[in-house]
Amino acid sequence: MNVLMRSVKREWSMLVRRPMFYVMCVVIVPLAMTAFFVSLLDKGVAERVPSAIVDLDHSEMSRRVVRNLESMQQVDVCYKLDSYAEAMDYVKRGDIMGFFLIPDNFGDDALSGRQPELSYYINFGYIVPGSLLVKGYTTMSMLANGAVVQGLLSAKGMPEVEITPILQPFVNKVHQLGNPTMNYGVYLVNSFAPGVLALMVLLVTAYNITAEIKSGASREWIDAAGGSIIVALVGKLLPLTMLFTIVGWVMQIVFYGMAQYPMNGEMWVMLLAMWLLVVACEALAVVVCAIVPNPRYALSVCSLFGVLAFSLGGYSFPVEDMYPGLGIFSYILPMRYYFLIYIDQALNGLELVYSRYYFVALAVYPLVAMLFLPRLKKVMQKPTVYVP
Amino acid sequence: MKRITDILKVWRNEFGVVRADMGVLIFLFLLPFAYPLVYSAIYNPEVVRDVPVVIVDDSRSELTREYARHLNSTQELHIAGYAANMQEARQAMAEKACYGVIHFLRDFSQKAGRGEVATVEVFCDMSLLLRYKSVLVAVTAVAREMGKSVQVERMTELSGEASVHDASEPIQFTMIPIGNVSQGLASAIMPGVLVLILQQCLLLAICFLGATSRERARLNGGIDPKEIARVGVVARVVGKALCYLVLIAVPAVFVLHFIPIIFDFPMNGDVWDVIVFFVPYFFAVIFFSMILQRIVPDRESTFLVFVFTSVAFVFLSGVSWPRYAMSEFWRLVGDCIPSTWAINGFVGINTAGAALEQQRGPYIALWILSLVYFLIVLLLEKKKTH
Repeated sequence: MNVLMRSVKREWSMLVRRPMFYVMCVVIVPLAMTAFFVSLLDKGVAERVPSAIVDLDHSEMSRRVVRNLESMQQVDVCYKLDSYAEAMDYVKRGDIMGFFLIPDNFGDDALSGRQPELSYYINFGYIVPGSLLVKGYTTMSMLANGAVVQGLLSAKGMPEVEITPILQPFVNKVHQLGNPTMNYGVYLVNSFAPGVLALMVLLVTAYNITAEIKSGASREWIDAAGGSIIVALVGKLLPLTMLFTIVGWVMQIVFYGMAQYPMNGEMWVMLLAMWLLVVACEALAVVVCAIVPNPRYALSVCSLFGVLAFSLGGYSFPVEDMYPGLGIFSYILPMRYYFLIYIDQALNGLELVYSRYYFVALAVYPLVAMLFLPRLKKVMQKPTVYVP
Repeated sequence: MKRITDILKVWRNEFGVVRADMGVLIFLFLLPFAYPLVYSAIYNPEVVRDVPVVIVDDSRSELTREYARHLNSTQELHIAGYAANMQEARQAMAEKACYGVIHFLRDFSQKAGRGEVATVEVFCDMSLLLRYKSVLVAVTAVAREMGKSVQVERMTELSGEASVHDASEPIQFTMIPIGNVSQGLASAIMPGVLVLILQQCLLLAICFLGATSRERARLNGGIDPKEIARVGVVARVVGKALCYLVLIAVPAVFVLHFIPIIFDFPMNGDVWDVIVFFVPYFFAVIFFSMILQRIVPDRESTFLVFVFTSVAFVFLSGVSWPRYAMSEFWRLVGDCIPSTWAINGFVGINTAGAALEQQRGPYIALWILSLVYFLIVLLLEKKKTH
């Protein structure tokens, strides 16, 4: 126990020798990025998409369509333009994300059954506003259809009938489970902010282990722990684990306390998952350092893992739809399991048993790291000379 | 004249420094070749197909069976099975056997038969927006498709003549996607990511060089022996910047031209417009990095201080969450980062097919950033030499 305390103290004095640097990497970066994401996405839905209308008809009916479009929540009609070419120019300049085109003779054609065509042009270089425009414009077109059919029927002397079952005999009632308002923040911040924390855990762990090699103190590090690599490593990682876990918990309190992201399960389960994520990332960094005991290469590999997790972790594109040869790599990333636990527990509020394998997977990382300790000890005792 | 030879001297010397530094060579010549390949490959399937859903059919009619057949034949959905009730379906969802449940209520076909609105209950897992979007697209399309035949019947019935079968949809509507024709995720996100990768490679390489120089100076009484002595501040800054500009040229051609060819990303811009547009971008990035290199204490901490910024910069650019929905403050922060302008300009030119003139705003902004960052670097260098 005494040796362990000595190892912890040794590490602690390393940390406090550069307080600015460690406060920045351990506390400020993860929390500032949390604040960044939460405040950047605080609107939740990217409504009021800048767009334009081209009305070539100028009839009573087209003006009604224009008025209806202007009153839509999704769309912000910034410009009323006179030609397709002009509207296309605005799209290319980036002033608008898309436009709605009402053709010449639209009103007459619609009433006389010549089936005029409304078209909408959408810049899918930006996918979130693009999707919103599709939704708004489609709703608009259905409404326009409804109005015309109603008109046609009453012109034919039909009694006033309920029009909806004719226009839309089948209606979908969609239930968005866990995130009914489709808040983009909920969808994104729950994976991306912990992803930043995981990245910093990987990097700081690898930095502190390989710093022993760089400064030529690696032998002394093992000796101070009474020659035990386990004591040396636990002593080194204990302060970091504590700090990172607390930062992670603060992050979760921000999500579920302040930002009111859905928490349909038990809070302690997510706190536990956070602690396991921190430890698993440390373990992964230990494995990397044992295999490539060189500061620069170890940090390069850890950066690669940390950054690839944002795409390979399947936060936005499902792992099942990736090429199978790439998708399997998703499962070597601890962040993937934390993400799956979040979905099951906080978002969907499932019973714990459905997430059991993810917890097991996170707990396996330290065990795997144990297998690499003899090698780590060897390289620490006989380090290659560091060349800047 | 002396100034020009000085610039050339610094320029040549910096090549030597870079060539001897394995770490910097990795950032400039391995990372920009390997990373875009991996990243593009991850997103390259573009769209989510065959999302597994489970059907709960309480109506058990010919109509619901036909409806289910239509759902299954869409590209987006795949019926993974039938569940006896909602409880069983929820169970299947919890076990990830499906990501959506489609529930036909008991009176579904009666309502349709009576000419009332028949409602389909759709329950959707919200862990990934792309999956939700696929489910939504499919159920919407099938509701419209199935509705058509009913509409024709009802209209004919109501108006008493058969000629009005087109009148159920008197107005046609079509959506025409601009630029990203497949509407895929990769084609939307990757052009931005590619531009960002170039910035981050330069940023890491330049910070690495700065930190290494400082480490050498520390061992050598405060003077880096690999720096050219007795040249002016302007010559030193410009010489180095031109060296980095030449070095990034080859990776830039690969990343901005060949990666889109390999992965079939939109390429609707004029090549010359793209080249001219990116000149101020690289100057801005180089001077931006030469400012930031001062805060890195040693080589390795470059990783700790700068790797995470990729995530922040990609969001500030607005390719994911649009700029118009950001607060004034975050828009302003984004304005200071070269990648913000370059990403939006590149998406405009290469995706939407704009001419350089139509992206004048970002182009001028990049020149302004270059100039401002250049002056700041000069000031900082002057302070250092005094």
